[in-house]
Amino acid sequence: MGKLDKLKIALLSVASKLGMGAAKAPDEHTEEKEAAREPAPAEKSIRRHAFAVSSIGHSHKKEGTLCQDWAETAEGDGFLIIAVSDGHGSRNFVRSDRGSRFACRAALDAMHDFASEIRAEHIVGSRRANEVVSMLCKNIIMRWRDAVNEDVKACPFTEDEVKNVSDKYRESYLAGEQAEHAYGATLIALLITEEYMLAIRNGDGECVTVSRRGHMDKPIPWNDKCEASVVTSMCDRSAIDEFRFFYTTDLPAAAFIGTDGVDNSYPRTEELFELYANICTEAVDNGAENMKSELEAFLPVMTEKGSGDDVSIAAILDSELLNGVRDELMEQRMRVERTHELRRLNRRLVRLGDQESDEASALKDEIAQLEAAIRADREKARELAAAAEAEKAAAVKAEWDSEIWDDVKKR
Amino acid sequence: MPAFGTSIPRKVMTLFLLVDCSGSMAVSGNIGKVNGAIEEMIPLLRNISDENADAEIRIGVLAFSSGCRWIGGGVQDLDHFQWTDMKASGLTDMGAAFRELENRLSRKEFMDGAAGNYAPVIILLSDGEPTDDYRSGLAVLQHNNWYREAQKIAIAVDKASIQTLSEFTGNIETVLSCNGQKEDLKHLIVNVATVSSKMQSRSQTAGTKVDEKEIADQIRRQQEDKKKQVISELAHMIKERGEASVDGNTAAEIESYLAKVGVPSGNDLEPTYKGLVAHLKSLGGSTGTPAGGANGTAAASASGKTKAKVADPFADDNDW
Repeated sequence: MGKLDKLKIALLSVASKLGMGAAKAPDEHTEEKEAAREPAPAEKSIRRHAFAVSSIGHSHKKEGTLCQDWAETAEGDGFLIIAVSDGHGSRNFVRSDRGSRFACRAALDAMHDFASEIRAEHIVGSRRANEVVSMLCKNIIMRWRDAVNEDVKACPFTEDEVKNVSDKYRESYLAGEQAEHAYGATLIALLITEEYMLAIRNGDGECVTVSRRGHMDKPIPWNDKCEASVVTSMCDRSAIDEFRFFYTTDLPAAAFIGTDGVDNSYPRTEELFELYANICTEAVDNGAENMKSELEAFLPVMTEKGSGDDVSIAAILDSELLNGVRDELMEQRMRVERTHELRRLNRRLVRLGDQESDEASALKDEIAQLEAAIRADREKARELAAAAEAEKAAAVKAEWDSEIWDDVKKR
Repeated sequence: MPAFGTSIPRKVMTLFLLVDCSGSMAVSGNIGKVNGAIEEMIPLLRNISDENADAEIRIGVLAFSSGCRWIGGGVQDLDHFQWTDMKASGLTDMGAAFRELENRLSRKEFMDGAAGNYAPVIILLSDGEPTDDYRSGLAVLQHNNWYREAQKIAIAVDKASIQTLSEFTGNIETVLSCNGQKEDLKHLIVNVATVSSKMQSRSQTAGTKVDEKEIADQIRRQQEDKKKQVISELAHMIKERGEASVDGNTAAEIESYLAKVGVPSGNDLEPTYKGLVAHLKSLGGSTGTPAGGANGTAAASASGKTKAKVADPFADDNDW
């Protein structure tokens, strides 16, 4: 029995201990998994929709290098999964384009198994939540390493392929050692079932959610090891420990994940939020397919004007909830527009210098009005954030209380 | 152009200025020159930002003396940046500034939203020896990934410790020296800030940086070109007048010309045409002196590779 099978059993065993049915043998489970991955009936998937888009980075295109990003979606019985991965660009990561593909597939498969077995009560408010999610991350890493090893076996490294690799790694790769380094990539994956949402991240890139009240957030805690161009990776020895995650039963109206090429294209978080708010309103107003086409046409512009890096976005949109928050999302756009306008006016005022003039005086009035509106925006945003936090805290407390009460009853 | 919203994708470059505001900076009015330089530099940076729609420049000024503080509270957009003059007093707590910078060079602080964009530019300006344990502060900073990837340039004013500043930049070639002559310090600060911002914000890919030696070399070239031009104009002026000695008016004009490039003038300037020409020739040949050298020129390469001889505007005057 391979390590992966042992892990699967361990995961199922955890599920079993947590009150799910008996743990299943891997073979038995695989058959069920295949059945579960059959396309869900159309009526089941109408409300939620998943999509993934990628575009090669502007600078990569100019340099003639491959797109090292990968983005993919998967669907199961009552759940949707999305994953994006960014293969590292330095010369030693010669197969990172494959590494990102393997990372997405490993995440989609592992999360598929996870969603089939794990219910909300096993993670949200559970004392064993960390253990369960950690098991999932371990599962993903093992699958990824298996895929890498199989790939190296099928296509050993060639002299030509590693000619630009540093001495340290060249010899290792040719000897078939430390191969996973050549496939180094980041990963963000997100699962939404009928009961809960779970998002995990190893490395950089950003996850943004739109709550059912229209509040936007970056829910996954940041790993402090990811600063400047240094990121944690699927190929790290400590890869399992580098994952950060977030889960909730408060299902979002929309959940986005994007590689760092996307968030690096926008200097301010509010601008990144505006991008995602506009994707949502476009989907509501013109349909998901039109929105996706427009987004695909926009990504090359984004990378050219912005980061220059590969860009990938995947999302799960809940059309019903999005309809309910459309006005709030439009307001998000207006808020950003007001801040842009304020910058433009300030710039004009600065260029007028210290001279007193009618133009300067009119500008100052306009700026004062805009500043007041922006202050009101910020106050409203703070109130929304505080309400969201309070709800989140109350939900967690209720679940904890319920679990503690269960413990007491058992005793 | 397809668009998703009103925000235009673009890259960010953050410029950090670490300015020594210790009591000694009040000597020779250095703090006034720094204040003037920053005020003058802002519109120039705005122009660079305007010329390149794909990039945005932000600025953060950290003043250190007895402790340290961010002018304006932290990193600011150029559009909002309002300069308040700094005052010089107290000690030179450079180590405290290094620690404070390390705390802020993080995605949770000043680099939020700018992650992975252009490597920041950090300019350190000092006129003396640190009075605190700067090494332990620097050791902490040296572990910061943003610092590691940043373009680091130092400006050594008057008796600044070149050694300390080169420890900060990691290279003596990126320490530019200045003796605080009139406009010289101001020009140097403006030059370093604008050249590095321009070069960095026009580099092709986010997450990469322009070699700071390249920036220092470009500043050297600019300084030398300017000096060459001023000396040439001066030589022309003297030749036109055909004066055998320099009268009071001409001396004042010469002084004004030389001040443009921070060349020493006044007492050591011989009031004769021949002496003046010899002096100018010697200045022409002395550009690119090592850090700590006179005349506000950039520090030269230790290997001498970057040492460039200025074209001699007096080439026809060999008989002098």
